[in-house]
Amino acid sequence: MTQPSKNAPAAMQDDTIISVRSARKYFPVQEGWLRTIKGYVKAVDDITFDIKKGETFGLVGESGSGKSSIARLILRAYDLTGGEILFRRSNGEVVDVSTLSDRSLREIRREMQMIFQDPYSSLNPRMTLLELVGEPMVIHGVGSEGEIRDRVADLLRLVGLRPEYLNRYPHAFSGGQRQRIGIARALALNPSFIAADEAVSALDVSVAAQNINLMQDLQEQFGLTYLFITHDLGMVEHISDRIGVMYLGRLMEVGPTDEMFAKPQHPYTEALLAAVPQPDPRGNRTRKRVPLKGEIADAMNIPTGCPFHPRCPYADVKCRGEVPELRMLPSGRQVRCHYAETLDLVGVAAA
Amino acid sequence: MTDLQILPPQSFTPQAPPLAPKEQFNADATYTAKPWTLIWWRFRKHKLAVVSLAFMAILGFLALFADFMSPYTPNTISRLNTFAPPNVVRIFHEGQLHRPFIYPMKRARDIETARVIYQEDRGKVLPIRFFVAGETYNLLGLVETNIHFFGIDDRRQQINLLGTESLGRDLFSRLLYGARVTLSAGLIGVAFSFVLGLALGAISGYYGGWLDSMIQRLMEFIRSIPTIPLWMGLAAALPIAWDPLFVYVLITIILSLIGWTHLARVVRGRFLSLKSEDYVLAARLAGASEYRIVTRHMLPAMTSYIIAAVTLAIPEMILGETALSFLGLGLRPPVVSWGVLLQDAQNLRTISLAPWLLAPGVAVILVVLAFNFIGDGLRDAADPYGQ
Ligand SMILES: Nc1ncnc2c1ncn2[C@@H]1O[C@H](COP(=O)(O)OP(=O)(O)O)[C@@H](O)[C@H]1O
Ligand code: SF4
Ligand SMILES: [Mg+2]
Repeated sequence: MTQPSKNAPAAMQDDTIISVRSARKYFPVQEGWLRTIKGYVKAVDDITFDIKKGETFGLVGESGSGKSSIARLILRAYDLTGGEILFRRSNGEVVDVSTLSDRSLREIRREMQMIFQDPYSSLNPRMTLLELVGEPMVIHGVGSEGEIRDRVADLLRLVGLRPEYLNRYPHAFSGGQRQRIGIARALALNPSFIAADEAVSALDVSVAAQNINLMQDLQEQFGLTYLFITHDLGMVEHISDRIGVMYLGRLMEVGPTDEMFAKPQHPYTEALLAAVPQPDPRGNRTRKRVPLKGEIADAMNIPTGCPFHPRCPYADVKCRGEVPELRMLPSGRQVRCHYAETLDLVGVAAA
Repeated sequence: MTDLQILPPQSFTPQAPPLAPKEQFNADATYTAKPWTLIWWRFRKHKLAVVSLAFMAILGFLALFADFMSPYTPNTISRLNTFAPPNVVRIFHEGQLHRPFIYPMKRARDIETARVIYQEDRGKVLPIRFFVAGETYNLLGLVETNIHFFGIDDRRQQINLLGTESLGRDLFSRLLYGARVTLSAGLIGVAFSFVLGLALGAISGYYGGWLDSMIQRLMEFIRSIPTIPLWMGLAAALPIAWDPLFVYVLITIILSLIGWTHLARVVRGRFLSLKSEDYVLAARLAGASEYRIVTRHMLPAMTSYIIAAVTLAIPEMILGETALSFLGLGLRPPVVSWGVLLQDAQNLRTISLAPWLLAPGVAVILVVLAFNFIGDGLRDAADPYGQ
């Protein structure tokens, strides 16, 4: 069952838990009842980044930029079109998730889990909390009926729900509570990695904050690693250690959260930051903020050159013709922009 | 496999954090109610559906025990009692309360037209008796008995709640026996189309791709065929000499060959929408097998829809059987079905002479309506979690 990938393990650093390498996911677009392929949506195109053990990696970008697709590729809900995704198991073994057999995949599923955006559709309405939170244990044959019951009660307590609710169905709970049921379920098998896909985006600000706090507590308690996905940069500031900014299936910028907030180096990041509410509106008067203009491009017709150029206030001829690469700057930040060094972009004051 | 990774208990916060005020529930029964309980609660609000359900339950009982519940056998001929009008059940005799009874019919001839006319003989009382001895039959094919639920104790007179037809056979008895054939034809036809519809709909919705396209085209083709000519063609191909029971089975199969498409569409639609449901992905990410995903997550979410669709398909089958038999293409005497009974009501002269012969038609309408109401009620209640 243990099948270390031939090329992978040596190349992965010790503190890294997930390494996404040149990952691509193309969805064929079919037409007519003969289902002829008329093109591809490049939902994920040549994405490379690492997630370190115990950190929270934030992935931001507008809706349609491919964030969910990445999460689903890492969890192997989708098969990769190209590239590889390495995962370090809790026993130290490094596996390439994209080529795992069904059987080894089942083992891996115990160690990586997902928290979903929609707290209503992500819980089967016909199952009680016991069945929902206990399902992963039932599937993996972990524990007897009584043990599962006890464990579910513990998990519910852990996420701030009363264990007496064991026999209730999800419709008895509010959105925020359901989200916590989803968290309890994700924790059932002691995973080391959790992808939270817009996990709090559907919630009220105060409830979202509560749940983020809960997630942070749990991270500390169990040494979890998070991939925290959101379309709202304001949301990731508090929880993420590092951030990747995505646009049209590509990474535009990667770097530590505080540095990127203080000084973005990609025009798209700057535009996203312009939408983040300022703690002190007067603090930033001196500089004009650049709001995001226009709409995200059609995923089937990605603009030539820099994919962001139709919306970029700094675009010039070079941007239209030449695709910028994701480059490592001397500062250690990664940026995909021809003019990263010369542009002087506006961030937000630290909260 | 059993490297149990249950956390040590001390790693948990011993007490659940205090709940926000909003989270304090009044423990309501709906919070722990099983899905089917919720569906039933919703269905119950649909009064017409509940009444229809009760009606069908009674009719089903009558049909199942038709030989016991009817006073005569469907083919008991009574030459001196042809085209007799329905008896009226009364409880007053000469101004006095009486146990339920009927007046016997006096048979006379119209002097001018020489037609037989019936008149109640108000002088004589025939009390209705329960559990009376009558003709012998096999109850459910098991017990031989001659006890009938009701009847009258008279050798020359009959009780005909719905009158009689050209051979003096009791229409009420024939209606009950016919209910058995017609309703079961509907149920068997639906059972066949259920199997076809479920299988093809599930394949279509679950696998998708070109298989889905093919099945979709096939369904569109079948639905575009005008049914009556198709039935007529198929039914005409059945040799007259065949055993009527065999014909009966074939007819139901013919009906279901057309009727499955609606059900398949419902099943396909459910599979399609469930496939992209987050909780199905969640189950997959928890490591659930395809079998578990289908049986634990997808099927339970569609059974209520399937039952509603099946219920709505039954009237189609019943109408199909009735129409075919009425046209003389389906079941034939001596088999008694509602369609066969309606054949007697085919010409205007008979109807004007004996309008009660339309009773099977009324029965068909009531049953079709009842199934439609039940189906509508079920469909509305099918998803008790709708947001
Ligand atoms: N299963 C799928 N089939 C076809 N296209 C898809 C599928 N999932 C996502 N896409 C497309 O891929 C692009 C990225 O989608 P997604 O990963 O959901 O982005 P995000 O989560 O950032 O909103 C979108 O254009 C979307 O339409
Ligand atoms: S490469 Fe050009 S268009 Fe793209 S972000 Fe940089 S400046 Fe804007
Ligand atoms: Mg998404």
